[in-house]
Amino acid sequence: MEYQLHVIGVMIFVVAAFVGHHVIHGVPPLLHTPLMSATNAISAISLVAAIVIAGGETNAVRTTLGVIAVAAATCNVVGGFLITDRMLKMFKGGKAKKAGKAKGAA
Amino acid sequence: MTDFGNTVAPILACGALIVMLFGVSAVTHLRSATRTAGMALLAFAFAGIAAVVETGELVPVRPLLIFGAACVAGALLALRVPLAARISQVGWISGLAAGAVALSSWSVLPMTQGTARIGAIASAALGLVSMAIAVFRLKETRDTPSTNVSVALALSLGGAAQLVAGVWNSQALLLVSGGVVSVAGVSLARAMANASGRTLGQLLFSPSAVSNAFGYGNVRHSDPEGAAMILAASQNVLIVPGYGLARAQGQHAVKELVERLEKSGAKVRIIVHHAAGIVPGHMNALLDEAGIAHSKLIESHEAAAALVGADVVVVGANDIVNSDAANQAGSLFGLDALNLSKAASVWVIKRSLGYGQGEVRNNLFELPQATMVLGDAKKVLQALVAELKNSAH
Repeated sequence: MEYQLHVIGVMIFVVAAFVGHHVIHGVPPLLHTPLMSATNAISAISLVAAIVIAGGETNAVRTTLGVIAVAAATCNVVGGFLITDRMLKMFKGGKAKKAGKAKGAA
Repeated sequence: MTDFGNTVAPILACGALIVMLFGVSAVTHLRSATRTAGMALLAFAFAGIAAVVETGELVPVRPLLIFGAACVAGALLALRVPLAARISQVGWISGLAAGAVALSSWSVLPMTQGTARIGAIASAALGLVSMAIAVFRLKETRDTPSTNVSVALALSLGGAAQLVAGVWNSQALLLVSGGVVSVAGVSLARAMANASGRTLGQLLFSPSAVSNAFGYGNVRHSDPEGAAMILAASQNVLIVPGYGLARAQGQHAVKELVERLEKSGAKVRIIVHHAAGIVPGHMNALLDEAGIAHSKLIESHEAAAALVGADVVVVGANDIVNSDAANQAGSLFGLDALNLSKAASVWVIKRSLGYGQGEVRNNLFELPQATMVLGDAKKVLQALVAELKNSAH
């Protein structure tokens, strides 16, 4: 594999980094615990990679591992957001829109 | 998770990893099976030891241990373990997922020695460093804010490992997902560190350093938005003004705050302590100038009953809410300061954590329900009013 600097790749990363920063930035310290739970949920964005792997290869071992990965990562995403929702319900008139924003960006 | 879960989970995760590694190795390269098995066992042992240390509290943690762990991570070559980031209290199932992804994508690449090695080392190091940070506390005193920061960093490094996978496999999709999560994790770690009054750099590299110049250990910080959220929902709000309010000339802002809070249904009273301000009556004159009704003012001896379960906003006052110092021999002895320990929440608006006239430390700031909202009294009050206006819609 050649090792060359893909400019488009760098640009993609910069935009993604910008999105990542702004999802988190500006959430009041009071909401840090549900935010941590939401971040755990979106860190199961390895789901994306899992789908790429599971769908892309013809080798049985790779596909099986990919499927396991998809299942596990989905558990993480769904469970994480359920827990975040429960935490946010404890805040009266809570800023559920912040969790929604995180959900939308993920 | 329970202690049992804490110990068993990393071992289970590593056990699963070993099984997967053996499976992959058997299919692709027989020779490397021994190598990968050896490394998997090392990771297993490392995680197990880390878990025992974590739950058994056998060893006082030193920052050096974290760096030692990072060196071990660097030494474990060619072991792609974003899984490691999850070997913590937070979601070890995603570790299995990340591990499976890692293994699958590892077998995607042709096994060339050059760049494959570099990529593998990079993500192995990232993964295992994240495990080190996630499992070990960042601070000796093991307080919750530091744990939260270490968890956020672990999440970030899991994303970073995915980023590396994206670079390595030239998958733009992984660049996006890895980029979002890794930066989000660092951003969250920074935000949480700042909320507890320290910087991220301090937490990582000098955890035994005192959090600030005035020697307070465990102080929560917030911006006016956080305070506004609680006060908007509050039924019983007490305001304690002090000299700082007069200096900032924030009395009109107090009036607006009182009106705003009453609009959202709270009962608002202002506790005027006899020693608040320069002379007795200073606060009365100040609040009268702003047009606040006298019925809202209560004296400190009436305050004790009102304080129970109330949300208190302390504006520019320090010594008059320092009940610990007032009861001991010292400069504040006999002051009859207000005791806010029965309040539901305390929001302290001050410019800094500095001393008041009494030149003595105030334990109020370290109360679990107390949060500092640092800033100029007038500015903070105005920000608070603005936030309350926003959240009313």
